[in-house]
Amino acid sequence: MSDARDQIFRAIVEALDRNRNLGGTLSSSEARSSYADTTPPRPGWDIPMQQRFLDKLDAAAASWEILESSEDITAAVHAYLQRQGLPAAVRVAEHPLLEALRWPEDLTVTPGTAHQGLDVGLSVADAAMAETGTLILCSGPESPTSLVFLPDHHLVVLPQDRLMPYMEDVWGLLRERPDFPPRSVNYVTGPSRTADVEQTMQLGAHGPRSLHVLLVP
Amino acid sequence: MPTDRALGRRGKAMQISPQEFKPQARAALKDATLQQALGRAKVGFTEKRRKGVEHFDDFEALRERGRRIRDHALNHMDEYLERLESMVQAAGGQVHWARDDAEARDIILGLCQQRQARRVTKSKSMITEEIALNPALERAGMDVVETDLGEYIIQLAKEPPSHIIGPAIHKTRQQISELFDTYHHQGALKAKLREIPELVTEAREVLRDKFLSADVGITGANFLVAETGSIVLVTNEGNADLTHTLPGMHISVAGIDKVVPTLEDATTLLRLLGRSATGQEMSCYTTFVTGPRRTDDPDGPEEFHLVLLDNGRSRMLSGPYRDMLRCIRCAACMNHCPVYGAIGGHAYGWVYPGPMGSVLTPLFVGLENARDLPHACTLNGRCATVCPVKIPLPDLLRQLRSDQFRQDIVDRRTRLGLRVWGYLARQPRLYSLATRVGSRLLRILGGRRGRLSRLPLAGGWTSGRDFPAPQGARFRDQWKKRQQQRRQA
Amino acid sequence: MAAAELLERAGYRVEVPEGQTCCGQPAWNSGDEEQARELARQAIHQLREFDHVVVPSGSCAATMICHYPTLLAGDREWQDAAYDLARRTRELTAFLAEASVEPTETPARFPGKVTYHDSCSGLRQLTIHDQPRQLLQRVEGLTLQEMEDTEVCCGFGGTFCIKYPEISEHMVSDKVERIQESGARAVLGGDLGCLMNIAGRMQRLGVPVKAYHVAEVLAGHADGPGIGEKG
Repeated sequence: MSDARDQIFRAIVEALDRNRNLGGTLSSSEARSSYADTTPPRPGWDIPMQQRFLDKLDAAAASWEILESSEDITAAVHAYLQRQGLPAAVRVAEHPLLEALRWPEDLTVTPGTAHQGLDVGLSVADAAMAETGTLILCSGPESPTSLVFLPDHHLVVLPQDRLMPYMEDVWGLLRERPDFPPRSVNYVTGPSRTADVEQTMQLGAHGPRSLHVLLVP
Repeated sequence: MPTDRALGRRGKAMQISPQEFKPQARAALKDATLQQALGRAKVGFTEKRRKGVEHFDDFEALRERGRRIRDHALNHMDEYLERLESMVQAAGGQVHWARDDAEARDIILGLCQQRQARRVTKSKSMITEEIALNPALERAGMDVVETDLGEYIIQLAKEPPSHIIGPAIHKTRQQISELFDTYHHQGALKAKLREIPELVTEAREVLRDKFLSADVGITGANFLVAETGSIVLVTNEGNADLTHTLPGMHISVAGIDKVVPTLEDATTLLRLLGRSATGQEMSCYTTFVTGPRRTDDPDGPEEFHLVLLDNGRSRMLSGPYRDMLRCIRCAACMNHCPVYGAIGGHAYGWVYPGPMGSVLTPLFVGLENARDLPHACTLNGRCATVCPVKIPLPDLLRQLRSDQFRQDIVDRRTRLGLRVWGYLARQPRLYSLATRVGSRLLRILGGRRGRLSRLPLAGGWTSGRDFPAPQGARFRDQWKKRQQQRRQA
Repeated sequence: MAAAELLERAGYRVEVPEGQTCCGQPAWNSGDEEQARELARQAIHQLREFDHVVVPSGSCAATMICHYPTLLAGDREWQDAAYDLARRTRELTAFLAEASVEPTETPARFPGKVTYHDSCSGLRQLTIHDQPRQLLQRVEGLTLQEMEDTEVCCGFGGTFCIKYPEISEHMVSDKVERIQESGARAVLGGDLGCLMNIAGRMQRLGVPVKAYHVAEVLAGHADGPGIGEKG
């Protein structure tokens, strides 16, 4: 197997040497500095960043509400379940923000990973970006990955100071984490969908059918 | 429920038949159901991309940056692969190197057997088609389940993908209803045409059980990030994430060409990929996976393996086809190709169809095994204008023609025709005489209608078109006459 | 002939060199580089003394402008001459639009709706799109009705239509449908290959739409039969 590795590297190095000897092919436009020092072309907007984010959530078929305090999360979750006609049960990530909450007695709240047949999961986003209305969730003890993909309804709490304009800003934020990179960084833009049958968009392919965002201060 | 065996077999999937391009294309043109599906896909994809690009201020600048990122990464492939390898290992993953398809299959099969895998879930990956992975795993008794809805559909139909991002675009709702009836209801629905939400929900339920009971999950990788040792997975369904999160082992297979330097570079390429492929600014799920589950992670696989495949890519790295390695597999070229739009993906006969496939297939399977592909193009250039990393596809196809010509892989009629024509074109007097005789002959053949419905040596043209007979005198003769008249005047 | 007249009207002295044959595009596109090079040298030699070389066909012009320099790159004797020819060469409508001569004579007339097919080589290699449309505005009575997919290939593709006639026929049928949907009475274009292909298909199907080279309409010569019709 190390044979294969050595041989592949030898072939690559020889090919690159040949290119260099030919000259010309390695033009200055191929140097990393030819692009990396400038801001990448990316979409702009002339509305407040939060508005852009909310507009993009709408466009991605996600729903949202803005809460005045994180204490309102429990009531918001409760109301969501009632609106959707769902049983009063929710699986929650073991996140300090959620653990600090006082859940009403008539709501069954169990911490942990997701399982087959789960209706509702609740997570806290590590970041979000206004560019595309995307939530970012990093796997770890505070955020099981299965909770992002297995439940029918995924509810996500987003602390507003975690909202960034662009994906590059998100990387800046995440790189500060001591556990970076986690096993899985999930960029989530709206509920799961497919267009594999006759090019027609249909929500709820394999992941959640609904994505609901709770913005908290 | 489908039997595991029925699900497992992929029939024609691994057959290599690019040399059968002509009959395959002819059959495709006559297939009314296929034509119906293609008509819908053609409009759908081009319209989506147009809207996606329209909303971006300077898409040309984005393309240029994408090109530079890919060129830079290719020019330093050795450095970035080394960094990638060490970062994957630092995160607790293992890296395997495969020189060719057979080596890659053996590595993956070995890993699955080590894990005593009975069921393997897969998330859509063209490279696993390239290495014909499924039959190898099935021969070893494993139940291989494709989880992307489109891939699942064609797995039931025992067909290969016909498109690199919409593998089942050649299938109509009626055909899908019939397949689901056969495999999910044992024909009880009598092939009734069903609504799309119903079909999607049914597939979701069938596949849920597979996800949860899989021993190994296999994905490809849209990009490899050297900086962090991450693989990037892009889907809308979320199937890749269920594939890599739920089983005990995650294997990712990727070409060595997929490596990019940093997370920011991957970011730029993602902006290009979504817009070029489906017109999306961002796919529903974009995931950066780095290694296996950490000690205090509540879920995720215990093992992570990255299989890096060469299979001819290092050979392409120097020489005229290097630009092709920039490809990010967005499918914009085939979505905008009028030839692909007419015949669909299967006619191309191998894993990669359309313009990118017509370049890649001869390079992977050999010029002599894919004689038609470089020629099955009008060189109209639309593909190159939509390519997110500016691959000059028509130039590469022309280069392949030239390589074929040099290696004498050209049919005799073409070579003879070119030789005669070329000889004439280099002898102005003879050329003039030949065109004079030719045009007079055509005019006589055209008769009173002024057009020909049969033409010797070009029967193909006249089977569906008339050939316009030259009108009046040849331009050159008219010109000469006019100049003489003027001089006299 | 219409092209030559247009140029003369614009104030140029037009010559057609004896001994001119073909630009070599068929060889170049078939992979026969050696033959293509020889024909390129022949054309460069024959056209060396002209101030401007005007080509009434997008694909031939593109071959001379875009591909001769590539073909002869590294050929010390010829590469500069190839660039020089490329500099002097223009596709007809591009040349006329650039020259922007005020129409001195009575402008051409062509009453009715026409549609324009963008030939691929001209459009993508020479960015010819606005020029013919701009010129057609000067034609009296003419309305330009754009068709859907005007920039999609008609399926000609040189040797392509001979090698893969069924695919080519499928493509040209799509094109003819788009032309008919536009409601135009004539389809114009800047490349004879495409026009012959489209006209041939229309005549086989009995579609009563005429095909003309854009120069014919601009020169006021489009009162006769269309391409492929009885003269």
